[in-house]
Amino acid sequence: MTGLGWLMMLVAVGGITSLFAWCIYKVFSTPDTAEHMHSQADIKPPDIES
Amino acid sequence: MSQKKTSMEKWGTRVGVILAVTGSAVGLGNFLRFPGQAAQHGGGAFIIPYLCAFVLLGLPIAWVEWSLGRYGGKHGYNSLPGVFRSVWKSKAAPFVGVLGLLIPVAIYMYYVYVEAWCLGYAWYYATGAMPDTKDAGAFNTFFESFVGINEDGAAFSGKSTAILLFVLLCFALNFFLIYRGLAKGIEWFCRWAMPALILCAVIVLVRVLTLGTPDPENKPDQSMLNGMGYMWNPVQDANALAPGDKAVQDLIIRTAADAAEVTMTGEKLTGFKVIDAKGVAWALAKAGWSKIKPETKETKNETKKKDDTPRAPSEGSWKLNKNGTTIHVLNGVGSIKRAVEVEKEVEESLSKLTMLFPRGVAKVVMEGQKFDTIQFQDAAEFEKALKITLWSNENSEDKKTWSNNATKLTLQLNDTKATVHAPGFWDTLANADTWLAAAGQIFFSLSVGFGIIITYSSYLKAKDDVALSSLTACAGNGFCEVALGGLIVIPAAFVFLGFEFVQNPPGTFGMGFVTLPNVFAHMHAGQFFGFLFFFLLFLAAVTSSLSMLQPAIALLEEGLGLTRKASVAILGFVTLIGCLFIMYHSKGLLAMDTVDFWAGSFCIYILATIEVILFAWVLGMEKGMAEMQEGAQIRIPGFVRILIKWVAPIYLLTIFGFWLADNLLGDSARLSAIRDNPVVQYSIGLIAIVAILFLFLIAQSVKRWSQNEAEAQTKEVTS
Repeated sequence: MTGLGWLMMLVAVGGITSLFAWCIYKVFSTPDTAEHMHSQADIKPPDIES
Repeated sequence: MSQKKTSMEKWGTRVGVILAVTGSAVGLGNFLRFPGQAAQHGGGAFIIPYLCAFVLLGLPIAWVEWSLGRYGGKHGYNSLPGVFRSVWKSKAAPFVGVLGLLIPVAIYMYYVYVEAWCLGYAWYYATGAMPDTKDAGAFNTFFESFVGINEDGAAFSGKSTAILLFVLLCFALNFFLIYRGLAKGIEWFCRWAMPALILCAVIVLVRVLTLGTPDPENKPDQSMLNGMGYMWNPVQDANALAPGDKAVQDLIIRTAADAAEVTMTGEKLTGFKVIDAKGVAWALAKAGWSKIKPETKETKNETKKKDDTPRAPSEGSWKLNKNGTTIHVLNGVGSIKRAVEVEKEVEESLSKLTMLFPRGVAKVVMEGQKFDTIQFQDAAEFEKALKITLWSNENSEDKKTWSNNATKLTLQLNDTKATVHAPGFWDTLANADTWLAAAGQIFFSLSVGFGIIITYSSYLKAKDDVALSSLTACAGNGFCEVALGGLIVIPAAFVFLGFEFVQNPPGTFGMGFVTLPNVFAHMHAGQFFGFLFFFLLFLAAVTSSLSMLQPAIALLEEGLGLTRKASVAILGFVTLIGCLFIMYHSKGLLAMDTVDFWAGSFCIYILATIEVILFAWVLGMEKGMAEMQEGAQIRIPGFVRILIKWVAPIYLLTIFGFWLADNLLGDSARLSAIRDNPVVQYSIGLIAIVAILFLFLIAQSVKRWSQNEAEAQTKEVTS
């Protein structure tokens, strides 16, 4: 593992982890996020049973 | 007290939202496809196009998809052809949307197959039927036997029957869940079982990071750090690549009437094992040359006495003999070295020389001519062999350059000189295929360019958030892919199976199935963790595959007026045929990899390009950004407008232009494969048939939509 490799890993892993951490922070710090946020998993097409 | 409870409930709801949003995006792409793609495209050098694609394409186009979907939903459309129709008032619009149906359905056909691998591995771990060994080769053999990788039709001829049963079981489970529409269970799974998968992956990661060098005596270079180096070093470290050897960048094989010379130059090798001296020795051994004895200091001195050519200190050497002819393969590092010498001890014929290139795509066989030294029979023979084995060429009068996606080989016809050039850092970056694959991987794992997000977001309400939801899903997904998938599979594969395996993994998805059992074999309670990991991965794959058919179901319902159950039955029939086709052509997993490339990378890339252009240039940035910002829980930064309007389209079209030039305009590897390989032809034929079927369904849907619109207009006029 070269120095450049370590740098690449830190940038990639660090960058993406920071972005994810920021998203979590926004979910907790913004009022009413939970009511408005959605994922594929909780969006129910109208033709399926609940 | 009640205030405290409310606060706790809010906290719990938010945690649940994060888990659901992240969990819904995680699947096979993160833990299996990403490492396979990175390994096939140069390891560390792949990461740069990958990160560029994540920031410049993945995030903005995910926002575009969520916004387009909700926009289409407001206009009464849930399928991609319908959504495109609402955005672009052209007769062609719904037909362009065929990609949004074709892609998920084609991917579903092999996704269920890989799902069955996960279920099979979970079953074998649970029942103790996995090989109880620390021999890395045993897991490779197990995988090959399980999927029937060595011959077509193994699952149907009784040699790999188990996989057929697991596939049918997965198919039945998927269609039961889709048919019944059991959404609650899926939501529950994403919220709670996905975190368990991530936790399990973290435990596996800790074990991988503490592997060290499991076999320091025999395989000192197969260490975790070198494995990490392969994954992350933008320029590969020569010492890490060839066990015990210094690697080189260029190999020149020069042949003349009475002598053969192999010269290696440079010090860095970025992905072509045969280029180093050990690789040459290996290739010769494959051709039937027997090793005489390990080189000693004495024999080295003797060699020096015979030949006064200056030579740099070598760290490894091999002496091989066949029919009385001895080849002395020396390993050296420096500006110009002689690496292979031919000692004409006895003039005998060499009936056959086979050089197998470890990537598995090139095989050069020369036979039937008498040699007194190593000699490539002639340039035409060499060329023929390369042509058969999927190398593309760019010809000029006196020079032919052949290349596959990793290596360039220049064959100079006049003096029969062949130069094999291993791709360096810049070579990898200059390869449009790498950039296309990186973008394709981002789209695949973020589910962008599939048509799935558009369909699901079309069911959202006007005031629902798309900005933070999409960003959180992308970030969580990227975290699982880079921080977990990227740190586990490739380093572990390097440690247990070595460089050659990493360079030539068994299909895009196969690497994890050969590598991870090695990690579990070196863990406490490995059998339990093996079961848990593969079972959770199986469940993650099920949640992804269930959503893949929703775009096509939406079209069948809204366009043709079919019920959900009828739509599911039609899709079940189509996808089962496709899945059985892919499973039948299991040799080298060629059918799966072909459909994965053309549907899972190429078509996704095209659809993502169309979507971003429609959003920015047809719907318009003002309208589009207003849609994106509506109900948003975060403010979308201003530079995203520039990314969507200019950067992403130019990026996508430029890479695509270069890719077309590299692959389609000329005698390329991909064209050769389509022309020469029946399985590739059938696989593309399968995609084409599904596309035609959907085009027909879209045509019917357009008639129905037009009819409904005409009726609505008549009613308006009447009222």
